[in-house]
Amino acid sequence: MSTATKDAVEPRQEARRRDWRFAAKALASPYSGTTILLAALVVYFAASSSEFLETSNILVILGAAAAIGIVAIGQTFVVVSGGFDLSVSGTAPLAAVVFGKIANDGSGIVPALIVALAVGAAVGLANGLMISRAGFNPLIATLGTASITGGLAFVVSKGLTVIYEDRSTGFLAERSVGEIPNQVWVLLFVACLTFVVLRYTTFGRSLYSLGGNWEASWLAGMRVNLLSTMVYVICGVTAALGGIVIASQLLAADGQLASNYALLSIAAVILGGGSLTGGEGGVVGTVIGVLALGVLTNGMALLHVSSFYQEMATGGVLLLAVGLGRIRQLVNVA
Amino acid sequence: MTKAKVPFLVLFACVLAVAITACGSSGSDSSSAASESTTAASGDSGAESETTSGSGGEEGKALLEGAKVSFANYTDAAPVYLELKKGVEAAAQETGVDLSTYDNKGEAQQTLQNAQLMANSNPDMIMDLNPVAGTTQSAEDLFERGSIPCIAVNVPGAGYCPWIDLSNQALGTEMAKVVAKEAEAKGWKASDIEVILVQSAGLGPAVNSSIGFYYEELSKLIPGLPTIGSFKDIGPETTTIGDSVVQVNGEALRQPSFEAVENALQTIPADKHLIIYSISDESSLGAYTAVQRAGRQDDLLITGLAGSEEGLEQLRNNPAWVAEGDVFFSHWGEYLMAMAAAIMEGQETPDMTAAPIATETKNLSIKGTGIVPISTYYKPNSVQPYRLPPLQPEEKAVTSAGESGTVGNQYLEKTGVLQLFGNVTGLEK
Amino acid sequence: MLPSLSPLIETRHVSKSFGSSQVLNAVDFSLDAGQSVAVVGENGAGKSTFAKIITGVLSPDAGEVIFENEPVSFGSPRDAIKAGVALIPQELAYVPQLTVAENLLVNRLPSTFGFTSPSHLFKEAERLSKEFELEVPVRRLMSELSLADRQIVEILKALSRDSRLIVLDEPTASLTEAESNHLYEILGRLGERGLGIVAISHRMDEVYKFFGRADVFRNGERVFSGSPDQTPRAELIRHMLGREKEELEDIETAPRGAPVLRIQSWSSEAIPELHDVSFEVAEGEVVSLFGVRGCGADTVADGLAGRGRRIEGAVEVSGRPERIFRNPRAARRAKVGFVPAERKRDGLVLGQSIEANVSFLVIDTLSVAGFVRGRARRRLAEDAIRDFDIRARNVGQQVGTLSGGNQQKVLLASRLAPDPTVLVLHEPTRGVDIGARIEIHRLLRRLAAAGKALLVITTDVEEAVAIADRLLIMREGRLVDEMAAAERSQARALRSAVGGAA
Repeated sequence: MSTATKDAVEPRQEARRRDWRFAAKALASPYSGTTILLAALVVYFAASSSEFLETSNILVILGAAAAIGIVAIGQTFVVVSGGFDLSVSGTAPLAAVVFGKIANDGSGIVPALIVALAVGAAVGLANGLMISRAGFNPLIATLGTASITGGLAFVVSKGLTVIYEDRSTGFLAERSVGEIPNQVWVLLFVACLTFVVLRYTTFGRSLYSLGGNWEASWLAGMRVNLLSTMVYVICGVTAALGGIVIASQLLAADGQLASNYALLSIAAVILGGGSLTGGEGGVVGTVIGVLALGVLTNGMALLHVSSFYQEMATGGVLLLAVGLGRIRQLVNVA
Repeated sequence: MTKAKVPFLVLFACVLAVAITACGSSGSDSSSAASESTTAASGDSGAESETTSGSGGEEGKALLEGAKVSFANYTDAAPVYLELKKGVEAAAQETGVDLSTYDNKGEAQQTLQNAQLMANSNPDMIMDLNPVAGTTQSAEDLFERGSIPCIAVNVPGAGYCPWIDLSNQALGTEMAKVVAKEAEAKGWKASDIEVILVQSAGLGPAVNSSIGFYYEELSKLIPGLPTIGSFKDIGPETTTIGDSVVQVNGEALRQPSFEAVENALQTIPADKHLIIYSISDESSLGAYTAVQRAGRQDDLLITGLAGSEEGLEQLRNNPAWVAEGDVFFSHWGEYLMAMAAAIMEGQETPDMTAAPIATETKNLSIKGTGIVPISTYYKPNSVQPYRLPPLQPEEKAVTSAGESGTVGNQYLEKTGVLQLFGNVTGLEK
Repeated sequence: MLPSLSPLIETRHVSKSFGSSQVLNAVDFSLDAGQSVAVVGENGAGKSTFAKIITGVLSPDAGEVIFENEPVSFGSPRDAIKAGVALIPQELAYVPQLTVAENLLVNRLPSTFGFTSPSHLFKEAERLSKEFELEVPVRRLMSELSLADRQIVEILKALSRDSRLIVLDEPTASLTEAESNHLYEILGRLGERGLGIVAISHRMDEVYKFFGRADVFRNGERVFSGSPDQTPRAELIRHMLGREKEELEDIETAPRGAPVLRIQSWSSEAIPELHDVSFEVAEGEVVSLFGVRGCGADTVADGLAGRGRRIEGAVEVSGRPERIFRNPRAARRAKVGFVPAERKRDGLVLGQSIEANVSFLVIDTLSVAGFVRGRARRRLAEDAIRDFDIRARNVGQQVGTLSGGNQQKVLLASRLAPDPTVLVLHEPTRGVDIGARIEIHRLLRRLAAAGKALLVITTDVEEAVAIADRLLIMREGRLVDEMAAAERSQARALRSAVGGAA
């Protein structure tokens, strides 16, 4: 090639590379795919249904997203550190049942709350010890725990529903500030707290290290077992809290609560940029993921879509969002 | 690559062979279970029951005494079915039956597994609550191969097992009558009404047909509501009927029903009166909480179905809860035992044996129907019925499978089993 | 700097065994501050285990480790790091998704009451970079750095922890010569500041160029320690092998047969680029393709492997024109065999037996109606063990438990099993000890003599020169030089590869 043509070719290649880099940056954030999806869903439903954007409906969406959101945020800790927790589906109803029983006995709401959250922490501790010390595979360990806690929920409730006899027991679902139900504030609080921890504390940063390369973290002297156990404890507590929130909305707790929360919470974290191998993910992404799923469910209900198609749509959305994420990865590599 | 497929075919053939042998061997010869009956047999076995026997108490009891009965519950995890099981256990004790219980866990695989286990244990009678309509055939094949008599409970049999079930037609129609009357009393016009139907899509028409019956009747009694051709027009895919009716899937559970209705309410203008119907108490409770959270419980007429403790409490205390479809689940046990005795005696059974039902209201009653005030069967503050509805003569009706057939339970009288319990209206001791 | 009166680190009679095999046997060792020692030896000699013991990754079964005059017992790497000893493993231990700064400061994030912030982090990382005079791009992600730069980050990480002793395992295995020089220059500087350095290395050239002391490990014992200046290579190698190194015989160049592989005008815009590369390989000859990292030889390798690189051009196998292989299957169908560079990741199934691995590619031909003929498979593996002199207990031994050299032989056997017309080898003796290396090279020559066409793509100049009938040099995506057997020289090869005086 003569130098003349070569010079002509170079700028063109350079320009093309610049375009790629721009596109890559635009899709830079790990949850960009999900954000686009959320935006698209909102636009679509707003256009298709006049009720979608009404305040009351938005509050319904947020209120419904709170419980799964809280659980998914706890799950974020675990997924970032390289594991995952399937036992949330059992811990949530167990805590809800325990909370109800104690509150009904008249022992007071605060003690009930403390005990229920402690139950969640205990389950998390068991998970953490099994996985970090005994080296159990997280899949097997948490699946086992899910069955045990779920079964325990039925045992404690004797198979019957535990009604929250006093309306105040379900205070987490009441409205204290305007029309916004309390559980939304709880979600906000948990989200902000987690954001700060994951980004601005040494504990949070070390989780990314742990998930990104366990071996390197260990070699660097990190207390890998301790960290690993702690994330499961956190996840157990949030699962308990989430279960109580659901039950507060229903004013009743039974063993069937939150039965699909295990996969749903992990899906939300993945939608939010998390990776099952660890080292990635974050609160903002998870919350967007939760909202995307919530908007989808609500929107389809407003449009009176048959429940069978609703299930298919949820699965489709998950694949779509993950697919967008893959495209981003490939663009970045190019 | 064809070469690679061959080992799979061989493997498949082996598995198939093993499976066939395994299934075949379970049909061991069952010594005729009925032959355990009795030296004291008075009537001829196999004879049609034409005459009513006066006291029959001893006959029925004799047949059941010591009989081995296997009972597979729908799921022990749901409160209503737990009650059902407890009732069966109590009835077994009263009649001297040797009872073994199983839990189908609400899923097909477990049900088939249990069916296998029950068939292998070769009892005198199998009672099976099959949660998934499609698998009844396979389960019944197992029983038939073992020549074991059986009763299909709550979900229609596939032909071999006689069937007992609550009548969706009766309940649905009666509850519609109550709701229509209440709406009329309130002066509600059809144009201001929105109906929310809460189905459980996965449970099939055997459960959901009551919705069809309900709405068919309701639309006739409240002129102006969009009409449907027949109860069959409402299926799992139905989501709206005209502008006035919405159907959502509550999965017969509280949380999903809550969430589904919560979303549905967003599409219903705030000034509309609400009528809600669901196929279970759990569903109705979830739906009610959603309405309550939206602050619209004062403009609501809602009914429940099951007669559970919570349902009854709602009927008594909740102004919006106007009817409770009571199925007396906790007492099905005695009817099951009676039916077992009838089968063992050789009686012919109707297409659908009617389980005891009643549509209870606060204090409304309509002659010629099963609509009665709750006090008819319950003492105040009690959740255990002290009396059960009278037996019904067999007559042509629509079964809960949606087909025409004979429905009734009068024939149980002959066995004398119900008389043991002394709580059925008309059969007191 | 005052000379220290006592050694920086000392081991006395350290022993370690795994199960029934004694990996280290009563090893005595000492190193002064500011001293650097190259630890050499065949694979399986115990070098890595020794390194892991003095850095806390493993604990010795017997013996003492004394660091800075205090007996120490490291229960974990954490303890060793706290004491001042750091390990930089061969595979490097970093988190790719995090920034350089976060990796540098892993587990020591600058914080107040547990709170930290990105800007704080970058500032601290830059401060360290300046302090130790090692420039690193603190804001970039680790995954974006070249391997050499990542290595430097690791070293900075170790230094910034106030390590007084750094142990490096094969630090230059994947670096080019320029990068290795740079690395050793840094290490030399650090040595002057009093840092003790232990480096495990297979590269004789580097040992002789950069180290004042070389220790030889053999069969779990430290058998020799001396200054490279005063020890001829042959002697060092003799200590390593326990016998004289057999020199590779001169190549008898057999008359070339017909060309069976023709690469025609390969060009690629993907990095590393290719510009119009053409050459051929004939039956019975070994062609070496040599160049430094980034010269494009890797792209050629990937193209022949069928790894989906976007390459334009044509290829001819045995006179049959083919499309550039879209995937490995296409390459196999064209009877082009490929031995990948990363044997553990791309070539072997470590958890499976020798038998399974050897028969990997030809399992269909060993099967009837989909069922594998066990005896045929076993015989294939037994033949391989015999022909390639693979040291193993039996055909059922897990490949993961073999030494590097033996693993490579298993890999070679598996790729030869389908009887390809041409065999392309990518870095055939990377991570392989000297004894096995010589055996493999001899094997390759034998294969050529038997009529196979071999293309060896390597960044190891010794290797490229030692076995080639023809030596091709690439630089910046182009073929720049060709040497016949008689003209082979490492010096000329390097010169052509880097462009200019070596």
